[in-house]
Amino acid sequence: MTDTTGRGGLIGAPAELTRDSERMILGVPVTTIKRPDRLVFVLPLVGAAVGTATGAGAIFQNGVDKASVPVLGILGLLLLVPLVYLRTSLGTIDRAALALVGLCLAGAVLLLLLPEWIYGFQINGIIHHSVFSAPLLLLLSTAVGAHALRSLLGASPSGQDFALYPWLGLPVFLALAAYAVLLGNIVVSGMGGLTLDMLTTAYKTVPASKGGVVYSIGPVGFLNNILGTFLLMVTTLIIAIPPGVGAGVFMSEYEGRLAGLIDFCTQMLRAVSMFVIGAAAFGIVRGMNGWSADGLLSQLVRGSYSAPGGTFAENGSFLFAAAVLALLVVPVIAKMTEEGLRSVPRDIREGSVALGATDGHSLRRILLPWAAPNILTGILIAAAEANGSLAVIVYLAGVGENGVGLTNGVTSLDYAVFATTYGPVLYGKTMMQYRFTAALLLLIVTVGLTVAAMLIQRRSARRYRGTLTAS
Amino acid sequence: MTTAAQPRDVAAGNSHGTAGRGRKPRRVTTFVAAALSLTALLGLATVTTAATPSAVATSTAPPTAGDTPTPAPSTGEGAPSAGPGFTSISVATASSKIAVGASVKVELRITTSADVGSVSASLDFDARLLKAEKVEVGPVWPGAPLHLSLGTADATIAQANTSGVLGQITVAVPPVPGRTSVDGAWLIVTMTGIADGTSPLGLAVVNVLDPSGASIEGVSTADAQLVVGGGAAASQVPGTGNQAGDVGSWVPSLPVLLAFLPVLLFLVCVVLLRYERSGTLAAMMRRWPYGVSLVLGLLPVVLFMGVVLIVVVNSIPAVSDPGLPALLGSQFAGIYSATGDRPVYGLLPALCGTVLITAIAMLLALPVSLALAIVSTEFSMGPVGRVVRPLVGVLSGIPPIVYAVSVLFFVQGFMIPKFAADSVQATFDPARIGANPATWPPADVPFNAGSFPWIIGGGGGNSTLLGGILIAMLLIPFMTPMIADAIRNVPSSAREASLALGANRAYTLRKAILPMAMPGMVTALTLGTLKAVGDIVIVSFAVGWSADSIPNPIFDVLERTPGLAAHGANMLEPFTLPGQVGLPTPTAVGYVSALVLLIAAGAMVLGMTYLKARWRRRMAA
Repeated sequence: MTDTTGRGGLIGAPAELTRDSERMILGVPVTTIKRPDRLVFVLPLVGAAVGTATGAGAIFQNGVDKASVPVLGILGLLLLVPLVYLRTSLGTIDRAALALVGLCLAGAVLLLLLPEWIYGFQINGIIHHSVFSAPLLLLLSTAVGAHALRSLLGASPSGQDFALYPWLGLPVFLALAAYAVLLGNIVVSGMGGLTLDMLTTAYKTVPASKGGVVYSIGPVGFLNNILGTFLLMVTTLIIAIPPGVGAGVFMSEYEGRLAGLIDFCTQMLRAVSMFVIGAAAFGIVRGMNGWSADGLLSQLVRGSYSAPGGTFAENGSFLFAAAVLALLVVPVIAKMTEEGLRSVPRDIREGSVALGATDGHSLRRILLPWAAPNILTGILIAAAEANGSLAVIVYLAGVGENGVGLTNGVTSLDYAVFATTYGPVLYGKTMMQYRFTAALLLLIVTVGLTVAAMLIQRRSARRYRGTLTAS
Repeated sequence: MTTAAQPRDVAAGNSHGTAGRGRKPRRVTTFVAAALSLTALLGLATVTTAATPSAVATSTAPPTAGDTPTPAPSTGEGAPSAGPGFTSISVATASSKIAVGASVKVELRITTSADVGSVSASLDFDARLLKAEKVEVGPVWPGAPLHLSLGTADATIAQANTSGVLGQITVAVPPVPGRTSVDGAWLIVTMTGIADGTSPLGLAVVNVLDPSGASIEGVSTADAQLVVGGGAAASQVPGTGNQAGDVGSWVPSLPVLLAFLPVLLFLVCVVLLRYERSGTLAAMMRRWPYGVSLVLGLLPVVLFMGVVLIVVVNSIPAVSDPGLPALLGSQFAGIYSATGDRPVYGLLPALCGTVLITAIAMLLALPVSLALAIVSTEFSMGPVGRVVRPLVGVLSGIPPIVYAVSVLFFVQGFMIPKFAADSVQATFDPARIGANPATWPPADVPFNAGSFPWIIGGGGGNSTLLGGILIAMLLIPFMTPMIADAIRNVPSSAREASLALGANRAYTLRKAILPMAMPGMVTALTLGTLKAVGDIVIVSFAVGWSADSIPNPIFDVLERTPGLAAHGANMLEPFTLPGQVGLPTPTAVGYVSALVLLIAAGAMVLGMTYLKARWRRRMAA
């Protein structure tokens, strides 16, 4: 891969050669300006920086919006300065800058005319002025900034590359700021409840001693949800790895219609929404309604718990939920296995065959070991995915007050968060205050798995550098 | 990738690859297809025979079943009835069925052999169907003081009618010498029906304390059903909906799934047969990878077919019950629609919600993902690119529920300041936004002063816009690595040729790299769209569960219009106690929405494959 990160090289060089002359870049005549003259473009650049800051601030604070009209107007005027200067000293007109000045001033006038709050027209809200001003300000500031940067750096190719930076930097900055705000909120709100007690106690309502179901709060904690998350993850992987690896091997090694069929079906399993798979799983549980809770099949699929009065069926067991989640993660493992096997260099395959290895031997000793890092990455991604696939088990899960085991009712950390709002009323009343703690725990587990997957991916990429590696 | 495959197959020395691609594989595929379709037919036949009798039973339910006053049914499968020596609490209604606009008294009864000092409870009901009118102390303790959560009865009732929970009503009983047991109604709540449907009435939290303040054990909580609505059709609901065991058995999903076992066996036989034809047992054993990987690889195929079958089979009843024209209606009147009114099951609002949410999410996520992908590959902008790539990787591990749980935070920090002034406050002054208090609220605005239908926060959902924004946040780390991979996989020869011809990097990116990365970007776009379409977790928290009408105007993203997935999930009614199932018609409609999503996913995957192939051909030409 070529190094495209630096400024120098082939493209940066011609800047010196072509300065102060009229030249064409890709058929477009570009007026290059003397370096001292270009410095006037620092003014609009500063204006663009202020404009971007105001726009970003107006997103978070309505009060900042009051500055938007003057800032936009000043931005236009600041761009007008180099325009006028170039017109008087060089006699050239920068048409793009002229258009931008027009847009800025028109935008400022438009924003000035808008009232602070807009309502009516059947729109179900009272919309603040900044909803319009902030995007406009950000867009125009970025455009002005890009233009000023291009003019400031001259018409060299690398200067034009730099002009793309504001356009790339703005969305990156805004997105990362949004994630920082969101995750910061989770961490700050969740830290308070993160005590050892919460981690080592299982939520339980106190059962009645002499029949009847008493609604009273017992111990409060996430132990069963945490254990359930890990049990569900491990069971899912144990179920999903053989078919996943098998499908991957078949797709990469035995191309043909059957492989096409498998490819399509695994793609579809990945593409259909979790809701569809969850609904199908719930259909099976629904179909078993009325069955005895003691039966083996009912225990395996629905799970059960015993309470005073007998054995009762749950909505879905860990085993069943894991099998359903496996459907969702098999495509991930299959895809990564296929990629790993496809990255085996041809000479290694040929060498294996030339030395007389059978299919089985070369698969076991050559191909799978080569693809192992990819498969491991796939498994870790699958594990993280299994943790986040609440939409599938939402039909099956409970809050996990009856223990954790293969035939117990399934529960997990993300269902614990979900249940604070949509679960049993008592659970919601008790655990609502801890929902961010559960979310934080879940975040730690999944992000840990993702980071591990990334590290393995990076290591394997380093190991096989120089060969055709998948991603 | 495909071009490299042929020589490699030869190199790997497998006769089933290139060499055997003549007739044999096709025959196997034919077998598989025939077997699958046969099983599907078999399953359908089983289902139709199984479904018919109970369907008849549904329609012939006696129309007067709901008119007679029924005692409150106890909840769940196994809630044991309290013995004579213990406290029990029940919800009893004078009549289980009331007409719209009529009232019924709901008695909270208590039976205990112990002396009681105070009782407190909360009553849950569906605020869309019922309205609490009056709360009074029952005849057991006449004149006893009533303590309500908000002090006054009016305020408590007003809050209950928006939240559906008549919160924490306490009766402190004056001591009566010689009293040892209690039996009778201690609280009477008058309920008025305001819309058709069935509302479960339930006691949420019950505390029965003796005069010394200690808890009395053995309280059994109870639920009752109250059917609102008139006409003959309404009375079908108690006959079909309340008997849990009766409804579930009409969909033999498990037998259908079990029918797949023969298919699996059949496939194993096919594999073995193919081996036999190819040589001796020893040769078979040497070629085990083929058989093993085929059987394992066909497992997801079979299970996917099972998913399709279950969804199709479960949605078949919808063809006759609400009917296809009803499904295309533009109004949805609620899950518990008891009137049998067909247009109320319209799925168009939900479809509209799906489109709106996906459009908002894509509009936000696509440019940002593209920028992030470009920054992490082509334009690293100094150190930014090196930071962005692992950061996006970490962000991609965030599960949807984390975004969902932050809804209230976004509502308070973003939605209310931007889209509601402070009109959610009771002290809202229209003059603050420059409106005339005398003419507030304006006639053409569907909200009332002081309260927005969509600002509920917490669990009630907020608006389509917030759902779109949060889903965009879910999609950005999901799509960015895919787009970045697509950009990275562009052969460096294309990049180098463009640079060598004098183009700068920005131009190279626009004209050489992005067009060549288009197939990979189409994949990212498709999978991202499907993820947005199928989400129920974020949508349920940020938007809500059910889409009632098409927003007017259509682009009013401040309305609450959840997508088809959340809407369908809500109709499956899974969020009930174990053993309970939803009503048959809404359930079937829920599966229809799943089917629609399934078909949409199939169409999008096929379209994606076609587009990618076409683009590749064009790039090759």
